[in-house]
Amino acid sequence: MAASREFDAGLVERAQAGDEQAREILLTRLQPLLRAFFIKRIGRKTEVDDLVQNTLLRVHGGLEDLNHADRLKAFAMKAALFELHDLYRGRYGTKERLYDPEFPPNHSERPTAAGSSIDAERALAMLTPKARRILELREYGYRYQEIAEMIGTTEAAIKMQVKRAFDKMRDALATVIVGLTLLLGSL
Amino acid sequence: MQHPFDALLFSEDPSPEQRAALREALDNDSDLAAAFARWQQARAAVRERLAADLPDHHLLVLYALDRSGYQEALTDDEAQRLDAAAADLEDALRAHPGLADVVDDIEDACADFDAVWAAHAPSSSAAEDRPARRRGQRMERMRPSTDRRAAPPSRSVSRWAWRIGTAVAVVLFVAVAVLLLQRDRSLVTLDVAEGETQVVTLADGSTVRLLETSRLTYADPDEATPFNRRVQLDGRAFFEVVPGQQGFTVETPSGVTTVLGTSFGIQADAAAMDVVLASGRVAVAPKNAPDQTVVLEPGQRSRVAANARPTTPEAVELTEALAWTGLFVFRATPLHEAATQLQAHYGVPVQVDAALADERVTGTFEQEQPLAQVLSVLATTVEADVRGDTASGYVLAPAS
Repeated sequence: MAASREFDAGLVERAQAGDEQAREILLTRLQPLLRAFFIKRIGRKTEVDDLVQNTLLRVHGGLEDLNHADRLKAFAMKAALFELHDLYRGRYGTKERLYDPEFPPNHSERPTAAGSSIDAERALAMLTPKARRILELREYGYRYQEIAEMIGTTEAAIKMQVKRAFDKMRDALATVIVGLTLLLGSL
Repeated sequence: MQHPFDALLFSEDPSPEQRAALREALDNDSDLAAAFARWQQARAAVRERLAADLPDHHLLVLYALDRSGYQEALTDDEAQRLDAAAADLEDALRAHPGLADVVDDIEDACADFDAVWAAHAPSSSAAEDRPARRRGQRMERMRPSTDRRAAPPSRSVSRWAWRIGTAVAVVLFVAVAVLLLQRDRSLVTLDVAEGETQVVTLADGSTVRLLETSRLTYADPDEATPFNRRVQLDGRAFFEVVPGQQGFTVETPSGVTTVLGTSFGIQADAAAMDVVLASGRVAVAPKNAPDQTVVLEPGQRSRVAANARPTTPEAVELTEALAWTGLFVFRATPLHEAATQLQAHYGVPVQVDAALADERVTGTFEQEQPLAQVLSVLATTVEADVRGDTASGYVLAPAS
């Protein structure tokens, strides 16, 4: 793979050899490119600045590991993808830590008659393959709008799937509660 | 029609009103509460299984790059890791249909990167920059490990020997160069007296808020020798570093912090330094063991003692952790949280209209600034009006 004029192998090699000016030129040229890439992937979000800076830092720190100077593009692409997926994976973990004490409320921790009879396995078994796929993408860190684009549908359709899955779980639990009530009444 | 528990399913950051409505709905409906508990259980189960089956999500990126024809992006070490994880990855992809979507998404991202690269850095011939295999070609998922990168071990050893040799040469060169530069350049030393705070703007536009009894030293730039973005700190300072291609380095008696463009606070003395990161990313390391680096994410703190590995980064609340700077540090902070902090500090009620509560604000403000000034700036960023006064309290409402 040959390099583009802006990122020719000679420039990369000089940067790798410690030429600060070459490194500066290289990173300066990468910056708008990375910004355009991240905006294309996640839109004009506040996270874009951090993603660009973090990717530049990753390239800056790993330039010496680049075996072939003419492979900068692939190297920068990998760095950008690592940062993008770090963002996805970190999206909800932090929020859950932040909000768990209040949201969800204490109800989720309160054992119920139905709750004791249905474990996580059964909760999972209630999900349709499509709902499970959506939930997996959500738990990976994608937003519903992004999931919709990945699956080729609308955000509203994705949310409808999630709502149906939740309603199904709710109906199943209501059936269990009625069954338990009848059972207790017959004893 | 919107149900209160829509917030539970769809909102990423429910407003206080949404929380209250949901709480009320759960209080009044035990079936709903039970379903909610199971729903959370299902989510947790999915999350745990994903984490167990895919402990390193970077492997999925490497896998997708490999499949997209970008094998050259992988280092030898990464290629070996990918080979070693091949069977586990295949199992994970079979067990989690969502992960196959993620791989497709990464391949789409590769195509986007291709397009952006072509627009910003056109190649000198049309055949350049094309991967060996294109997206959608769907080759075998993973080649046998014996089939990939069968480089002889001696190649790796010789490369490492070359690297070590080069590294030694570079270190010697840099050491000599630094010594020469230090001899030629005059140093600027700023000492801040007790009870004072000094804000310094450096030649590259970065600012340093230097707290009392702190010292900042750096090489004085001139026409012949531009600012080298390297400073020494003994004491406490908050840095706002403008993006630059050359790393910005802060040396303290115990550690070294390297950044590109970011904001962070450092409290340092002879024994240790505390680093709190507000935005961007920094790498911190003990001064005498630069290879023991820990990378901080925004909202994290690490402590570096001399000759010891930096502590594992811990999450902190920024304004609280940086209270010693005399600043409010908001970084994508929900407006209602910023208002709560301002209210607590000034002792004046600050209310935020529900429509604005979740708007994110970013900014750094001196705590000595009048509250009205701070609110005025925040209001501008979210297109709001500030109503009220110090006596009756303030309300931020959508601009009329």
